[in-house]
Amino acid sequence: MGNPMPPERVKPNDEELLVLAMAGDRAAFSDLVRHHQDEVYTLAVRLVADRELAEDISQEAFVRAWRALPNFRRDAKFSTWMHRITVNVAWTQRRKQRRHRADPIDESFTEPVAESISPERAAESAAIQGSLRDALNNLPRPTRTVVVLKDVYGWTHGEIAERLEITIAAAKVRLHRGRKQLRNQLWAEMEEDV
Amino acid sequence: MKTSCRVVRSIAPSTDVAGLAKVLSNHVGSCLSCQAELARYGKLRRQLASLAEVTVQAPEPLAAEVAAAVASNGNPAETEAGLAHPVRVAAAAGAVVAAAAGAAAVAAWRHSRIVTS
Ligand SMILES: [Zn+2]
Repeated sequence: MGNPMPPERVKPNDEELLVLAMAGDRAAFSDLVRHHQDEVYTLAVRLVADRELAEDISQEAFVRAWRALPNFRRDAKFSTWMHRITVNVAWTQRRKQRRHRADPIDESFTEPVAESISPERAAESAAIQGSLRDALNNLPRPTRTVVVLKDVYGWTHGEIAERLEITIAAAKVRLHRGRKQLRNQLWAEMEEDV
Repeated sequence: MKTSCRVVRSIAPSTDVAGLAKVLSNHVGSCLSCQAELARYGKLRRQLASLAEVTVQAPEPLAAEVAAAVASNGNPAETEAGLAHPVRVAAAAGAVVAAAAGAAAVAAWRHSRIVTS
């Protein structure tokens, strides 16, 4: 028999980290941040289409999460909870900003493609997602927010309405309008006058 | 454009073939233009859903900035304050700390971690 395998170093999972963080363990919370920072930042970028602003929103979302941890009832996954907080922060920030200027659109922003998909599919996805991203960025932020939450993240109209403090009917109207605007941008040349 | 085509175009963003009323689905069955329009929306929805597979990498300093902000934030588990604090002020303070102190702030956070654990 060979040498016994050294015991594998067990990384704490999110559930353990969450328990520790809820008890005030900053290191555990820091690990949670590292585990979830990409998804939180991705959501923020999709909502505001501006990398610097998305970084600020991500940071505020995590700080808000840290302070709210004692109130976290664990009836949802940590990632789901973080998404909700991120949407709240982005939405609140929009209210503060909207009187000053239109949505900033980060023209230089290029969304990297996930490494988990094949190279062929990645190239195809990059092309499709490039034009889709541009079209999304052209939507007014209230419309884009609903489209992103419903069609990218699969939220229900009820969840969207609750989080954005709008009616379900308003969420449906924005989704309808947003999809129509995307369709018109992506297939403009195919507009027919039959 | 026929009236039925106009109706299909007006509802296409929020429906698919299965959701169409009988009279409209009969029309779509024989109208290539409407089939194409519904197919565009189907494709659009699939493309949007595919964005969920794509993750954008967070900027390098984000985790350290959060750690610095959290370090200056007290321990909510002890204060039981939760969301009662004005979040924006604390987050802004955290950002300032992170920007100004950088690595030193992270070191302070690590020290506080040792003290509190
Ligand atoms: Zn037709």
